[in-house]
Amino acid sequence: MRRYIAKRVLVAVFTMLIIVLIMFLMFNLMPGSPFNDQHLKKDQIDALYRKYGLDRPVLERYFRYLYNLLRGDFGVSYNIQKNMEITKILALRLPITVRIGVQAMIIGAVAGIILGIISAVNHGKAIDPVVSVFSMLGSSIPSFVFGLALLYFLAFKLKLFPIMYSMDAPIASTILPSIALSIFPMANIARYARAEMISVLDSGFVDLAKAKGVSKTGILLKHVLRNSLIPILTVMAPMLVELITGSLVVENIFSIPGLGNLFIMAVQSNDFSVSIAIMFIYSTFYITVMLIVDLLYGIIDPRIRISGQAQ
Amino acid sequence: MKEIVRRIGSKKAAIIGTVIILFLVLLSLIGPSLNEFEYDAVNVVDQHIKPNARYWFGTDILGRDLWTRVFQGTKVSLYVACLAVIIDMTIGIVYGVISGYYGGWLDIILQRILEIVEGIPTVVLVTLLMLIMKPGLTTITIALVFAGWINMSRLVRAQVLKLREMEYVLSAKTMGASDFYIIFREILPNVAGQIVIMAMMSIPQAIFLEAYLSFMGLGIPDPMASLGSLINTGFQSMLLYPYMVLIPVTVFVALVVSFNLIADGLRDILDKGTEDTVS
Amino acid sequence: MSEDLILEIKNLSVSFKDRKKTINVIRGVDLSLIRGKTLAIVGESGSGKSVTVKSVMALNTKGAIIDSGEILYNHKNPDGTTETIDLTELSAKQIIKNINGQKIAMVFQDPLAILNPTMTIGKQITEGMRLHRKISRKDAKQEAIKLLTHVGINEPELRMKQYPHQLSGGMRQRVVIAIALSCNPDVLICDEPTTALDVTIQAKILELIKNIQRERGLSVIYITHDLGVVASVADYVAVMYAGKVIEKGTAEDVFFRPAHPYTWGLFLSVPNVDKKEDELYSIPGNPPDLSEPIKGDAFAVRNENALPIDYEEEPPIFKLSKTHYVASWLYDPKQNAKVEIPEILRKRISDMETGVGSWIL
Repeated sequence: MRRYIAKRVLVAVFTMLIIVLIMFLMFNLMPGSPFNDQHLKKDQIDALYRKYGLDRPVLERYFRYLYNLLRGDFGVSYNIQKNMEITKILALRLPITVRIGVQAMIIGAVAGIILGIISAVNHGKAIDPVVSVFSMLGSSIPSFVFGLALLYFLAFKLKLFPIMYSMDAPIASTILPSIALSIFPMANIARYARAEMISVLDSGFVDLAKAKGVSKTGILLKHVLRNSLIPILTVMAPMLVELITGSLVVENIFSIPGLGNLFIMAVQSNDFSVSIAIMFIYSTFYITVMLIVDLLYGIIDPRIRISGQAQ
Repeated sequence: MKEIVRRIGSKKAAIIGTVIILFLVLLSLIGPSLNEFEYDAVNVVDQHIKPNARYWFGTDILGRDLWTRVFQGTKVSLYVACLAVIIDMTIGIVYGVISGYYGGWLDIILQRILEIVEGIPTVVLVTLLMLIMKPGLTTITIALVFAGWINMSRLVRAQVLKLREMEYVLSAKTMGASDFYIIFREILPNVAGQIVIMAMMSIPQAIFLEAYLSFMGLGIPDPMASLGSLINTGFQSMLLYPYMVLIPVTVFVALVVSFNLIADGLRDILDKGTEDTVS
Repeated sequence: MSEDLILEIKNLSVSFKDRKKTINVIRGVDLSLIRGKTLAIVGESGSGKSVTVKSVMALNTKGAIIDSGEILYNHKNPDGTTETIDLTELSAKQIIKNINGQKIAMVFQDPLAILNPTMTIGKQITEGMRLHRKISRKDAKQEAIKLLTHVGINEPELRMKQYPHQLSGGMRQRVVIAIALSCNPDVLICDEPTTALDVTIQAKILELIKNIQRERGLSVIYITHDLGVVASVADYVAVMYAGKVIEKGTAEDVFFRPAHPYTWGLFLSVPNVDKKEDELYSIPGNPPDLSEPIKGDAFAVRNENALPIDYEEEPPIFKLSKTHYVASWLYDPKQNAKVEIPEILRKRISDMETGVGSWIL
């Protein structure tokens, strides 16, 4: 098991190195420059390039970047907030995005699993198709549509929530975006949870538990839930990652000063030190999630833990 | 028995989905030419007109006819859908078959490459591409080519690995069948059902990706339209003219729901693993 | 009724219903289990043997409905008084809570499918004890280890911490038996307990169940299609066909004096390893579709020597001896039919009686 973890972590680190390299190469190919202010003369731009070390070869910059990264230094912003340390910019924005993401995932996972249980236990009864229709719609409507609808009805019409993000009310102003983001994972988790539980409820050990005299609730909690968690986890991981995409648009809709918002600004203004930093965070997050899920399988399913393989 | 009833029910849903898709395909092909307006014709007189007999879906703030623009946009989504399937069917399958069938060091290298490509979040990948290329259909196409094949190749590889050891494949091998024959005659037909399901499931994902990009202004540039960009521009004046958002959203949702219904129906019909649970 | 019956199934009918049709899986079954004895229910798959016992434990899948009949469980209290419970009057919930595990326990067919893959063996054995007997975790653990030793598992402490996939098939079945015994039931129902196991292990498991039965005074019901198992364990045998018991009696009655043509066919279709016979017999035709109403004797269409009345009227039960019953018109004096056991079968039976042949294959 330890060897397996080591191997997985190694692959993850290697992937990250390649991704950063690709980013550097891409930005080198990029036509624009962070200093395309029309008032700047050619020699001023050259001076700026020298100042930030951008006149050096790509590979040299790459390794210097990696070295700085190891010390937790993302460099400075060239353009959006000139010369401000990126770590400081991130320190302001990352927590907001993380809060929205975490809230969305908690709402989505809890509500999704509960919906799944309800419809699996009532398989064939009236409530079951209702949940199915919800899942179908929820996974067919992009989060920005929910965002727009929530903004329009709850914030604009009913004035229950602020329209703009406010530092003073972090929960009130992040709850709508979190809900908008949570519908997609909720719908999908509900669907998978339902299918999975129906098949687990059909398995032999449920019969054995009944023959032992375990009550319905006991069977559900002790036997069924645990055995259906693995497949549910497999679908939850990509959804966590989908949240990145979702947060980009949802932050845009609710004017939230988070990471996604910053990312779009950075990309549009060619501020590539900021862009790379955010992409690095996204990729790290993505790879870490995949890694954790992989390792979690092992904890939940002893068959994987002992053989030490994910398949 | 309930399972069968449910299966017929979901087939019915799949039929409805197919009908809606066919209808939308038809509209995207002939819709824009059903009235006299061009998708990019700006009209300063008829700005933000609510849907009426002349402008069936109304006009946007520049006075462009929304009916024409919505179905122009639908065409983009359908193009993306086709693209996703083609990518799955070509790159995804070829990659998976090679990796799974030949195995060995080739498999190891191909799997490492896959892990790295998979490690890059799609949004990041697409944004990177957008940096070196102009936003537009070509860029979206390339982005999908980069990101769209992974799930399919995973599935195909896993199936090939399993089938490679099956007795009928081994017996074909001992009888001297060529690799080509074994792959196309013995292996792929047995994976066909799952491939079709996977391809169908990748369609909504691709449509979503395009919509997200366009919604963020990274997709199809004005004056061209996609459903995502229409929703985005509509959003900016949503509080005054809700129809500008509502109409493209409705068409978009109808499209994705239909594809999902078809995918679900196909899964029920083709996936032998999930049926026969109740005798 | 002089015998001490622990379980009586009276005129039980069970059907599976859905929107389209009704399948009458059990059509009036009468069975009884004598305290401390072993009853084997034999039949092809689909004959309703499994559904019958699953009805006792409320384990049938959704849609199964008990249309009529009683399932009487006669519980003997420590003070010697007997208490009769009609299980059909209890809800599934009540049966699971009060009967399953504690009074009636089950050993299932496929131990791999039946054990929860994500729970340790220890947890699975102690689950029922902790639930029903309210004993501490430590006591439960001690007792589970004792049970594991009892069912013949070595290194029980280690096994307690292991997961089902780490054990061999035979060991898993021993664990399933330990689970069944964990709450000291009176009745043990074994549903094809050896079918999924290697031949070499089958005999050991049967031996184990026999020993446990003797030590604990258990009453056992076997569900099986394997006549070898029946011959080696059963005191009483019931043969089921198309949702009915068509012949029942002591093991001797049924093995040495089989009365129903279906029983003959069943015996004949067992390959005889002792004697070379020309070809393996198989009963012609297929079991009837139980979603259609059945006219007359369900076996008539497959019976070469069916009487005209077999197609008209369902045969009642005829009593051949104090213990031996059969549902066939052949034994109606009014039909004046000639009862003729097939020659090969008669030969086999006489071989067995003289100890030359055997049913255990």
